[in-house]
Amino acid sequence: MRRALLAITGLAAGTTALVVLKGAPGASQVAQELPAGVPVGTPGRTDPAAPGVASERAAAPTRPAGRPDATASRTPGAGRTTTGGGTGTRSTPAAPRTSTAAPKSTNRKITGPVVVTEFGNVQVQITVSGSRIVNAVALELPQGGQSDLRSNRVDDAYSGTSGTVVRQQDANLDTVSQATATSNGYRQSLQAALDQVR
Amino acid sequence: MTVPATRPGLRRVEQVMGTAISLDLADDLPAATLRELADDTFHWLREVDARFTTYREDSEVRRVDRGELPLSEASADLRAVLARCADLWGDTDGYFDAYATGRLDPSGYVKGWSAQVASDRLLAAGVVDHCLNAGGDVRVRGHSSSGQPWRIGVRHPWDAYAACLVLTGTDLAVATSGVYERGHHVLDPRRGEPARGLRSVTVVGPDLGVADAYATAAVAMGVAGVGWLDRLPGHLHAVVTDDGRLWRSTALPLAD
Amino acid sequence: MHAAGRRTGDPSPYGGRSAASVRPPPALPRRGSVGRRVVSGLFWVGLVVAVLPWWLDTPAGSLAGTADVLTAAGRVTGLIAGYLLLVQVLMMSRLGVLERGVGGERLSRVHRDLGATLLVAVLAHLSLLVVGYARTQDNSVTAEVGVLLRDFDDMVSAFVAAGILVLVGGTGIRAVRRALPYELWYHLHLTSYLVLLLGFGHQFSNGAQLFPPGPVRTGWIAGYLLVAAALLWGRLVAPLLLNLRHRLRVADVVAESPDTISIYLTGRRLHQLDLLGGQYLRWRFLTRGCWWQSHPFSLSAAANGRWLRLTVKVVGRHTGDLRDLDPGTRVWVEGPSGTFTAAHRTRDLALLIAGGSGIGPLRAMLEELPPGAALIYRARTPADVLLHHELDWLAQARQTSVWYVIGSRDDPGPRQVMSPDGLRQLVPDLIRRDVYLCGPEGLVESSVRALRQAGVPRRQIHLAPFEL
Repeated sequence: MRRALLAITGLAAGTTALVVLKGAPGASQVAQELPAGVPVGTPGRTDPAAPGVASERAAAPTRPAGRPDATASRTPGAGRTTTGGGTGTRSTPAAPRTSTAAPKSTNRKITGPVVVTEFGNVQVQITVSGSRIVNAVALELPQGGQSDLRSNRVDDAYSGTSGTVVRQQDANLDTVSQATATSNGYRQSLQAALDQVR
Repeated sequence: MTVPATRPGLRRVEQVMGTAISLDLADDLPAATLRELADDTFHWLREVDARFTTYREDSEVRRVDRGELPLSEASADLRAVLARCADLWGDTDGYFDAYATGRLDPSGYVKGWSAQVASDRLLAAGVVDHCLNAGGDVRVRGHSSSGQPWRIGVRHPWDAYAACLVLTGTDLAVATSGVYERGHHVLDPRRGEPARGLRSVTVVGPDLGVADAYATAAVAMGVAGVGWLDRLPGHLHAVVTDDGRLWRSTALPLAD
Repeated sequence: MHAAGRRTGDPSPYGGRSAASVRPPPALPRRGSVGRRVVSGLFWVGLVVAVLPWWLDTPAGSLAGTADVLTAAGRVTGLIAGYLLLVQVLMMSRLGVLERGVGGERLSRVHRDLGATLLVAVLAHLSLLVVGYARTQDNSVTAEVGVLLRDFDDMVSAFVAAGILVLVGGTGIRAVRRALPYELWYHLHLTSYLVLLLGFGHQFSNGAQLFPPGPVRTGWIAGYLLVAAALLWGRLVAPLLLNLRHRLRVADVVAESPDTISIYLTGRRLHQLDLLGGQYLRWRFLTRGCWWQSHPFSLSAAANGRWLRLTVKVVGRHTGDLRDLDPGTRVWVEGPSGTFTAAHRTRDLALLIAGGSGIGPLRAMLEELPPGAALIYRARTPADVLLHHELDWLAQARQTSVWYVIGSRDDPGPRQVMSPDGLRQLVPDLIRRDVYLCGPEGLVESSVRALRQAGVPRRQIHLAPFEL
């Protein structure tokens, strides 16, 4: 009986320790929900790099903003070079970027939160030119899982019926239609990412 | 073309009806006017939520359901919604059922309907270019601020951060219903069990409430829903099955 | 009554050779508790491996809200529960390696303690996830249970499995268990295999770590298959082979004292039987009244290739029926099991303390201990001393010191002998010996207390698998 109590205590302590260790803030933070009722800023104003979202600003070669054509939709390699910090460095939250950095000539990369889904972790990085998403890259996707397999099959099926394969990289969208998203589900969706860059 | 430094229009996200509603007004109107229109829109959505929610016992829907409020004395909106729900019940062979959970719950229609009404009102107020996304049900009109027709992604069923289709148009209602996570199912109202077979159904049509109801019904039908969708007049669709195959109407307005 | 001391044999381990006509078998090499340590090491490694997928899958700092934390804790406890369930079943699989490496009695004890832990882990898993999911979905807890049961694959059976586990766990509580007839309790307990079956599906259809195909899922399934195979082997195949090979039959039933009998058994190829003195087997005597009962009895003689012997005190109906066994009765046997053997000692010398019919396993063990062992045999009256002649013979043959301590528990003589000082007096090098105890509960308890007071380390004290 004494040992059973010991084991149960160990179980509770172990689980708590594991969760606490993993839950410790630091590595990455989950994106905040957008404050309701506040109009999201237009691109000319302050840069809406939300807290917890790593932002990377690069003086990219000038490229026509607006909707890029399909071939140009990948991030140019030069877009990855940064002036100072490394890729994905955390932006200091209280450093509002003023309109001097004209969004017209910049590509911004916004790294989303790591989202734990049933199929694994998803982290997405989107590249924004002006007010447009020109690229979205999954930094982390469920590996070797059924979801990958199925994503490919959906892509394959789609490419079979029409000429264009919709790749994750070509996410030049205004909005996203999806099955009823709860507030929580919304937080972890492309629509939220779209709303966030505006 | 290039995007002007300050882009016209207004964008706003608010939490209503337990979900996020994103509004994008793209017309070059005075900021104050746009803000007022946005306020009106969200005010309307909130009002609908208050009257139609099943989560609050004092909502109109709950009072009607409990019989405290005779239907004849209910608001015109509620009567219209219930009439449409009855029609949809017939249209969908009973697969769209406002009583699926055992009590009156028209929320499967109300969200799309209220967004549709909001869009109609915006159009009447002179905002010809707008996009309203009510928790994934999308109503677009006119063009986006880039001057191009709106581009609407359909969520990839297995990747919350990807689209599996991109639709484009100047007057579309796009509703998607489905099950992205294992376990969360649309209930088949006939058998009372979770429907299987279809992962995601997107319906494109003129009315968002109807499109949403059709999408929900098709998911509940399971694989048979594909055939049913094919025979729907005036609506287009795209379907992803549980085993990852995509079916769609050939006339679906895909973006290049 | 008085305490009667009697000494035969030479206490010196290097004393003269025995004059016995039959040369005794050599003493067993010592292996201490290696098996047990290896198994418990494997257990911890397995536990880490079971939780590792969650650890690797979960990015640091990703647990933002209460719901995330609850869900994460639910997953961890779920993985632990899944693992413990496998361990629980494995421990009861009667696999020879475990039965003889760790000992069936120790397995039962760990099984009971781990069972309580498993129960808590399952309940924690269930409640943490329900509350966590409810918060994620903005649902009430009851509504979320409804959603889980209705919409999640294999969830109904998982809930049933949890229910069965609670029931089985309830009967495991000592008080409840004693109130129930053993057979009923045993068969109720067998339903816990259903838990394994019913709980299987939901782990893979809903488990965050186990759902996606990959090494984790494969490994987990392999774990289940291995345990199922171990169960099949330990409970079915191995006993079948054992009984087909040896075909044991009752040879004779001999009264040792008014209330004690010895059952002699013969069979084929007994010299191939891998048996150590002190181990026990589970016996099923195939007669009309007895075949449905399986009881563990220790052997009271070391393996000799010709016959086996149990010495049983008649205490209940079953043991009473054994008195009337006819020679030739077939016997179904499972085992052997137990670490109460000469091989599991940690020191070279041993002290054996027997009470009443507890002499049986010690008598068998005595043949396999190196010379120089000591035996203290407590009995109420001289008539209660069993196997008297054999013990005297062994004392001679294996240079064993034997003390018969006769008298009731309250007599001053036995009390003095069984005190720390008395024990030290009899066996001065007490603390450098392994001590084996077998007898009635009271004797064992008081002796252990005295031994500990005398300074014998706990790991050198070996308790018999059951009280006699």
